[in-house]
Order: sequence, then C-alpha cells, then structure tokens
Amino acid sequence: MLELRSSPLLDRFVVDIAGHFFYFVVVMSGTHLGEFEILILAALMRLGDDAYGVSVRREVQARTGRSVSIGAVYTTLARLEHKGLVSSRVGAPTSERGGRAKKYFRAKAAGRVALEDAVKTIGRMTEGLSLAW
Amino acid sequence: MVTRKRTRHPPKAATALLALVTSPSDRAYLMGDLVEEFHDIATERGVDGASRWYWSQALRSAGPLFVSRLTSEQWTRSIGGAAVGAMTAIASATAFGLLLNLFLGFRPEASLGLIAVVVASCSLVSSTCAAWASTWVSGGASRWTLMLIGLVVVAPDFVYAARSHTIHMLPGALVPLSLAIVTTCAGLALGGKLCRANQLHS
Repeated sequence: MLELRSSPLLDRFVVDIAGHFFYFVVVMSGTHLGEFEILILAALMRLGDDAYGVSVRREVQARTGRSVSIGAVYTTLARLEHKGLVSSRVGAPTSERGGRAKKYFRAKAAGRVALEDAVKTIGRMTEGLSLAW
Repeated sequence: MVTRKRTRHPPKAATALLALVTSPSDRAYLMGDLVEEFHDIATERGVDGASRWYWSQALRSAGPLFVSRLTSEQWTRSIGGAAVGAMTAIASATAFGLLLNLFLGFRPEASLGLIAVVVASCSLVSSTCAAWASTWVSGGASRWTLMLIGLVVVAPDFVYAARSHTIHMLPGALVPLSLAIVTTCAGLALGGKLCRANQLHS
C-alpha cells in the first residue's frame, strides 16, 4: 500500500509560495495590512533604529513562535515600502557579512497609523467574543 | 588519512539559488543577512547544522522572492502579464466555445453570418478578459504583450473558420476573420481600460 508522507519542509515551502502569491496579487494592490505585514510593522516599531533583516526575522520568530524565512521578511518590507509605510537606509559593510552592508528599515508615520488602525479593527471585531473554549 | 578542513561558508548551490530569484536591489543585503546568521548558527550548532538551516531558508525564501521579483521588475512583469494574458485568452475562449457548443452545438454547415457572430463574440470576450488579466498582473500591457494576446485570440478563429463547411475558399473566410480582428482589438482596449478603472476606484 502506498503511503503518502508529507515533508514539513515541503509543506512550508508550498504554503509559503501560495500565501505570498496571494499577498502579492491580492493584498498588495490594496491599502489594508495583511497579517504578516502587521507583525513586521510591529517588529520595526519595537526594534527602532536596529531594525534590519536579521533582527526583524528574529524578533517576529521569538514573539510569535513561528518559523520565519528571510525571504518573507524582505518581500514584506519591500511591499510596505512600496505602500509608503516604511523607509529604508543603508548601513556600513562589515566583514562578518562578507563585506556586504546592512539595510535598515523604519516605520514611517503612515505605517504607525496603519498599524494602529489594524490593531483597532481587530479589537472591534473581537470585542465581546468569548475566545476561551 | 587526509582530513579536509571544514570551512565556514554557506552552501554555494543555495547561495546561487537565492542570487537567481532575489531582486538585484535587495540581493546584497539579503545575502549579507543570511551569511551573518549562518556564522552565528555555525558557532552554536556547527557547520552542518548551519548549512541545513541555510538550505531551509533558501528553499522557503525562493518562492516569495521569485514572486516579488516578478511583480517588481518591469520586464518580468511584462512577461508575467503576457503569460497570464495568453492563458486567460485560451481559458476564456475555451469556456465560451464550450458554452456555445452546449446551446448551439458545433455546426460545420452553419451560415457565414452565424460563424462571423460566433467568432466575433468569442474574440471580444476572450480578448477583454485576457487584457484585463494582463494589465492587472503587469500594471500596463505593452504593445508586444497585446500583440501576443491578439495572436492567441485570433488563431483559433482561423481554425474554427477552416473547419466550417460553409467557408470553402479563403476570400470567404475574410469576413469572419476581419470581424474577429476588429473585435479582438476592441476587446484588448476595453480590457485594459476596465482594469485601470477598477484599480483607480479600489
């Protein structure tokens, strides 16, 4: 009898592609924030001036308990920058990065407002709900 | 016995994969981040553990980075738009043809007028859908994209007209095919305008 076994890595690969394709084609054209965009914006606000790819990925991973890929972080930051919610600046190159510079990100005022709106929206939707089973 | 010294470098194949799919504007920063984390993890888990982590990151990041690159660079967006437009043209023409077949049935002896109406309406619908989809993906279809979509839309009309028993000679086919070309051009223009109008209002 043939047994089908899913590989966790393959499952995550497929889900990552599908999820991000949905974000790019559907969410990207809108102004509302997707779930992962909310997490990234919140991480930028927590990290302040030290927000770059590595620190953002680690912050989201530590706080959510989810395994996050660097590609997902960069594509989301690019999308947020395209929407005018995030700005970036380039730091100095370092030897431990193979002579490559860091790209730092910062939430703009519009990004903070968008995050606040998103959090309030979730609050309104979940107000009064009994979430304990 | 010769032992090879393990050098602390990320796997080259994984690095090459990432370099291929990452947009040039972000490539250096993303690769730098991965190299930095690779060295941190190698210190904790050893080079093998760090290499496994690096491969995991490369495979999981490749999809989103590739899609991001497709939608951000103009030439890739144009190719993506052309591909989506062509596929939409084929799908909508097929669906339209199947619907017509359901109600009218394929009639090789159909009159020239009926063939012309079928061909023109099918071309209009499929070119409109294709242009809309292409504009949505690429943000604005180039003339080459529109020409490709037009070719994909009109080509089956030649086949349909050729299979008809009514049209025996080429001059006879010119009427429905000319109508198909006109309605295809109209559909391409309409599809693009509708998509842009929809994007403005959303």
